[in-house]
Amino acid sequence: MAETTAIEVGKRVTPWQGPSRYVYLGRKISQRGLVYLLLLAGAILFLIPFVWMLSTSLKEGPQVYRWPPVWIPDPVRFDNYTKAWNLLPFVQFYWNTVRISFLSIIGTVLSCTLAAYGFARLRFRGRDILFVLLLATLMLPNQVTMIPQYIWFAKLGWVNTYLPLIVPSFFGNPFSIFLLRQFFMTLPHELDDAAKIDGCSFFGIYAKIILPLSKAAVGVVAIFSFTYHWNDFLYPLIYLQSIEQFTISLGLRMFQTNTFVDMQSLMAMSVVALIPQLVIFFIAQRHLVQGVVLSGIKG
Amino acid sequence: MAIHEMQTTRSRRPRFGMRAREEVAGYLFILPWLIGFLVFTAGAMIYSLYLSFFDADFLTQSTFTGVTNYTQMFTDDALWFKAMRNTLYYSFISVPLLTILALMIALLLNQKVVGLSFFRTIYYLPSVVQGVAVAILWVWLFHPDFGPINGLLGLFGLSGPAWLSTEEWAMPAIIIMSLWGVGGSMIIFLAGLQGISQSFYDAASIDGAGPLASFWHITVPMMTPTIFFSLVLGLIGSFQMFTQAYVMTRGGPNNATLTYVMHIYNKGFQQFHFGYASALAWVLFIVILLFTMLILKSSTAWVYYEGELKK
Amino acid sequence: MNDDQRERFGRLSRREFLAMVGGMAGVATLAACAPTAAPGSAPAASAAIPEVRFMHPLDPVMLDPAQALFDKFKAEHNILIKHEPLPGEDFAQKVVAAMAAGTAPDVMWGWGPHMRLFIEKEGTLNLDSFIEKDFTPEIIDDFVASQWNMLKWNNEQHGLPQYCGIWAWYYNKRIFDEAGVDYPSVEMDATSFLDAAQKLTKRDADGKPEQLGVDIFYALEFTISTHIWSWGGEVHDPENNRMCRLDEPLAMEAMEWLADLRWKHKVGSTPQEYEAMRTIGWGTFATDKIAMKCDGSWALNVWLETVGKNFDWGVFPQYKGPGESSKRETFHTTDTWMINSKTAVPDAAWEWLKFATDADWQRMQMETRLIQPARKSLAVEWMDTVREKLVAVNPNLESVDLQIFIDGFDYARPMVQFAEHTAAMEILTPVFQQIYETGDGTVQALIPEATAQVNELLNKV
Repeated sequence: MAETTAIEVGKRVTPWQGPSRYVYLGRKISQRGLVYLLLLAGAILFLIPFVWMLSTSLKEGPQVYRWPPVWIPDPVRFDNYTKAWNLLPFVQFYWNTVRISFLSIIGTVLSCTLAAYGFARLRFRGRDILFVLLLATLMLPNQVTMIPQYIWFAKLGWVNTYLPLIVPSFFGNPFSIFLLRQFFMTLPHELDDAAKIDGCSFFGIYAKIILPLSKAAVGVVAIFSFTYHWNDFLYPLIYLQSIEQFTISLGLRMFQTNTFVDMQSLMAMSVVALIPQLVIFFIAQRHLVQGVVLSGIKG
Repeated sequence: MAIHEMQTTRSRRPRFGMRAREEVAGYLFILPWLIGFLVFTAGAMIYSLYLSFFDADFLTQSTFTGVTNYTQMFTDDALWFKAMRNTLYYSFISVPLLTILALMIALLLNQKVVGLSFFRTIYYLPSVVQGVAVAILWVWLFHPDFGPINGLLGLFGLSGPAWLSTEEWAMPAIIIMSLWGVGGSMIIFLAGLQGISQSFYDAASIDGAGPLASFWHITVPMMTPTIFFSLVLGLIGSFQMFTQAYVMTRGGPNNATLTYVMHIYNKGFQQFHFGYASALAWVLFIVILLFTMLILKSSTAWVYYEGELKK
Repeated sequence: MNDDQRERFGRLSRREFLAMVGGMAGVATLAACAPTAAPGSAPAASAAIPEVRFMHPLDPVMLDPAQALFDKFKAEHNILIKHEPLPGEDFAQKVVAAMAAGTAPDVMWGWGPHMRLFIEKEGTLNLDSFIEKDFTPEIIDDFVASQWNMLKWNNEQHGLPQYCGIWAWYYNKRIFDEAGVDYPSVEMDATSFLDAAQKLTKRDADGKPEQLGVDIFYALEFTISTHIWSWGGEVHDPENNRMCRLDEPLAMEAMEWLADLRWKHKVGSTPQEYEAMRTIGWGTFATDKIAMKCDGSWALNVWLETVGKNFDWGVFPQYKGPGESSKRETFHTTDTWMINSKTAVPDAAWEWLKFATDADWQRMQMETRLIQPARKSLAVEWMDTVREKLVAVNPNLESVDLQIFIDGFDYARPMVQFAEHTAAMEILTPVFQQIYETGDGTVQALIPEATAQVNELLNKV
């Protein structure tokens, strides 16, 4: 079958009746070109700040504060990275943050997929009200719930532990539940019905039908969960006391003191902290969110 | 069950039993969330509501003040209106912009493009850059003389304003900054695009539909659940915007970027009026709830779920 | 399900499923094994050694030397110090939460409104009995008197000063040299200051600044009050912080002079210009485009890091006002260490407080970040250390007149603090904004009424 162009401006054409093959090719190249152009322009825009971070992290002190800003550091100080890494126990910070993040991902995925399935697929009294309640918990700013919650956790004896950072993940969070629910609701009912006829339990449908079909959405939830916990500053700040417990985000903040910000160290360690997130995202999206070819090319 | 029912409705009996089982199952599935809500969240929310009727600073005995906090908000707090206005301004502009931008980028990144994974990662990158680095970055980006943004405008012959130090352009600057964080919404839309079967597009192209028609008649309707999600959460989130404005401008200049939650933060953590701060928060809650219900109610008209469950 | 649906939603092959399950099992085991409690929290310490929780925002470069001091302290006193860092600048949430829930540490670092609040809400221990027991009059005298007194409440001592920061001026020698203007000195007064500033300001044909005489910022507690005092006026009565005296002639004069710097003489930047000229964070001094900038003694370290050897600079004290009533004035500031009133180990906490305000710790602060010590007896050592560090970066900094900071020990006073400071500032801040930031209000028009309002607020019955 002949190829159809990806973006063809509203012409009712069947391939073998249309303009010559070369015009098609030409159009295809220029439209592809447009796509690439847009993507590249956007990518540059989105990368500029990161490049600046990188550049600052390799500068010497006085050069950081030069005005107008200098793009290329001179001299290039790679040792900013080793110095900063050794100033604070980053190995410990990374290990702590990894543990918190991974445990939280597990908890989030488990609890949120369960709840989302309930909201999306099952009928029970009060479901819609509970769903609004779910959303409502997002509507009260955490500035006013933070201290009451802290007082409560203090009563439980959970202050100075990782428990407040990890345990709530195993009990769902509204954002992920909502996201998964939306996604589950796009899956056709026939799948469930077929399974029910085969005698599948609700949990069976959840585990064997819904979950496997939701790789993309679950992947997104996992990515978000990871990023959230990796970068979380507020909860670790108020619940963790000694430096051995600190997470990466707290470590980064330590470069900002009342009187001075160690800019090079801060940028250097910020760059380093980005890398695991990018790697995980890169891998995850590659496997979970496959690009769909919008043109008619069959595989 | 009555005997006549047993005799005449045998075909329906399994469904009845199943309905009850479904109810139980429903509650079981949401049980972890429900327990978590009751144990970790409900208490704090109720306590803050309780506190809103007091003059409290968490360190000393609080004094009961009844509804004074609430009335004071509307009569005695000059900043309340400004904060609310700034927040609405931010929300109503940034949410639609962000949603459209996220969808556009997701569409672009849903094609077979060389280096797709790299592109996606690059677009995702800004949404995970955190903390002071972001603020410093953007102060430089918006710099009146040397920042790239005014530089770009200069290429088109426009003379950019002094952004963060002007009252009119500070909030737009923050809106632009938040657009940069589109990566998060982008991957949600990517996941949503996943779910649209290629067969729809094939059928459409056989019928001769062009790309624009495909977009309007297939992509958009199938994406409405995701768009709905993005709008609702975008609304809820944008009404509570705090960090960006706080690190960039601390609410200035002249309170042009004072958002509602920043006002709450100031009242609570700078001035220790936690009772008043709680009252402010609950008023915000009502406002957000109202807007969300509006969107929820409207959703039956425009959101299409393939697997919708009618009651 | 049919092929199309399977195709559409992706398969979960047996291999993937096993991988998933295996992965989850692995992590679950990890979760079970990994301690959810902090690795640093030891099981209940053996009754022998008391532990003191010390919350203090340590600069990362201070971590190692501080640990050495903690170890030394433990060896000498058999008390374990558990340091709890306060990261970042916005620690308000952590401190307030801890206070509210009763998990606040034994020795607390404090600054600004939170410190005051904690003291006033009876969160801090009265140190008088300890001081009587352990501090001789010589030791008390070794602290800067006005800092010492600043930390009293109801005539009880509630905290000890952590360091001494004296507010003064820095100047850029290169700019002075280029213009052929004499360097500022201790002799400088408002008139010669303005004169120098005007000579050193260069604006281009459109009025845009190429070089400015002054990097000026206007905040009551910092620059405005210092100038008012230097003119001979007062912000609030020194004996009575419920009496606002901003509407008196000397104070008004000083405030007008300050406004003129920006609007009339244009030797300082407008807010937009300031935005355009500043580098990330540290105002404009490091850009080599500012002749004079006011800042505290803690900024010595900032210039070390941000200016390097780009240009030579020096210091001079806050200048006197122009009139006869003018005085040598400036403010000092410090952060405080306080003991939690609910602490279980008051004696141990007090031992630590003594140590931290003594030579070893103060020296550590000096050597790492050039922080001026709270103890006058360490003044000379401080000057030597600072000079050594400055010269190492730029030999021409040998001549920086550090003595002016030491002189400040004698005449500097605490920052202004109204009885109800936050509420008073809510009235005054918008007024100052109009006078200094937007320029559409004058001192004459706005200050008298604002003063009246503040007085009314502070003296409400």
